[in-house]
Amino acid sequence: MYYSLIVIIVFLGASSIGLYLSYIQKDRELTILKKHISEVELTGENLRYFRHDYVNIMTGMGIYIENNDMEGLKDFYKKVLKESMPIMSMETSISYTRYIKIDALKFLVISKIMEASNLGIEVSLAILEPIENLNINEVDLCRIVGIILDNAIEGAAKSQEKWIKFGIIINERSYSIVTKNSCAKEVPPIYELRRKNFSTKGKHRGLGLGIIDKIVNTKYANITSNIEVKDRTFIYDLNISN
Amino acid sequence: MNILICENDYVQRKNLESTIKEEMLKISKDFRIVLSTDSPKEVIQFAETHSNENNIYFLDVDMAGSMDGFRLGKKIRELDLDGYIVYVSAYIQKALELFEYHIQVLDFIWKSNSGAKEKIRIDLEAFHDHVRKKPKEGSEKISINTGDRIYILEDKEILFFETISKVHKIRVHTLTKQMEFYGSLKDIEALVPKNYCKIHRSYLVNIKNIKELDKKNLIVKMINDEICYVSRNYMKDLINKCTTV
Repeated sequence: MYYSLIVIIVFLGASSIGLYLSYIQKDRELTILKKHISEVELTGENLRYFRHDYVNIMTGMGIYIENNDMEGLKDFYKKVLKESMPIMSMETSISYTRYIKIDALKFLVISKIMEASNLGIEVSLAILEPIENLNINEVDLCRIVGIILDNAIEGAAKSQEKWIKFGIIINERSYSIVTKNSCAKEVPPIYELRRKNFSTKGKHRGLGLGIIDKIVNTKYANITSNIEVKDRTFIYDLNISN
Repeated sequence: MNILICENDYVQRKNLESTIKEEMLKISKDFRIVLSTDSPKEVIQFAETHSNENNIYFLDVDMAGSMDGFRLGKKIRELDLDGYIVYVSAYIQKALELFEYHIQVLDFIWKSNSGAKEKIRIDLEAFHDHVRKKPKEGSEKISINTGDRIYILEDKEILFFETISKVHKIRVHTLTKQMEFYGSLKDIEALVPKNYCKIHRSYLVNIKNIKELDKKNLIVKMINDEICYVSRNYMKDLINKCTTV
């Protein structure tokens, strides 16, 4: 199972890096892209750890079985199951990205799922039909979704429940990219979050919702966004008209 | 209080029906299962002709396989703004709840979960309470059809509408959300009740939610401390309205 995952990631990685390199020449998004590339490398490393863990787990179980230690095996199994839940949910989430036919976006989403899972955040996806040809430049799309997911990860990491839901919904004349995450009780009001350069933490990547607004306002009449903060959840809903 | 059930598998439908029957009798005698069918078309037809009644829809659709269940919910929502929609699904897939936000679904029930029965009861109760406490004139809600979606906003939550760019985009600010759609303030002015006042070329404010009016600096402060600018020409009108509403 992990092998096939690795193959998918490596394949994706190779094609997406090519795409990214071409962007580097025509765009000045070098720093963002560099970050994403280093995330691919991190992804590969994580998968190597998984493989290593897997062998260890099987060996461990083998020892309990050999000693006919049913109680020990039960405990061990429970522990492993608990620890592997975030990894499992990550894997099913990743399988839903197969519907994203825009490689750069798919790759970005996968790397963010990995990043979130590493922080103990449970990520679930809802993408039920193929997503292609969004009416937006790919670099801008990745920048915007990158910011939304970074914010979601930051918000969820600070919360108690630690979850993110990400979905792409196909409407008649538009696509909606919806991200929902658990967040802490105290969230600044939306108008403050939206203020240019606003960031809840000085050290944070510094990407605020204001940047998305700026991209949309200067370049995209066909994009609208809805934001909701309610009951310790944060929703960002990006609508791209065809 | 009408209950509708849509599920394509016969056995499952009968199961769901008997659970609902059992639970509804515990709450009230006024519930009626008006339709139990495998045909989404029949449900849509019902919604078309009975949207002025109180309806709760239990839709069992294979949510994991395609967006069809989502589209059915959306269609119902277009026809029946106040209807309660509950999805019942065999597959647990947490992110599907994102659709809840899009079509204002009341609940998602996963059949395989042990608490499914209890959730059905809770939803029926919520529906029952809603119908009982319904204000006589349901004019407190403002619905905005974007062509692709319907936004249902509560008057008491709305702070103000604002134009945000040259391309006819409107952003509505409420206590918990900011939503955008295409249109002009003129269209909105025609849609909202009397407690709204234009205070600037690009602001239409809900007077009920104003906290302070700063005449000297031409500023209005809303109850969440958000600020709007008043243009001098509209100030008189605003003061007038504030004193009458």
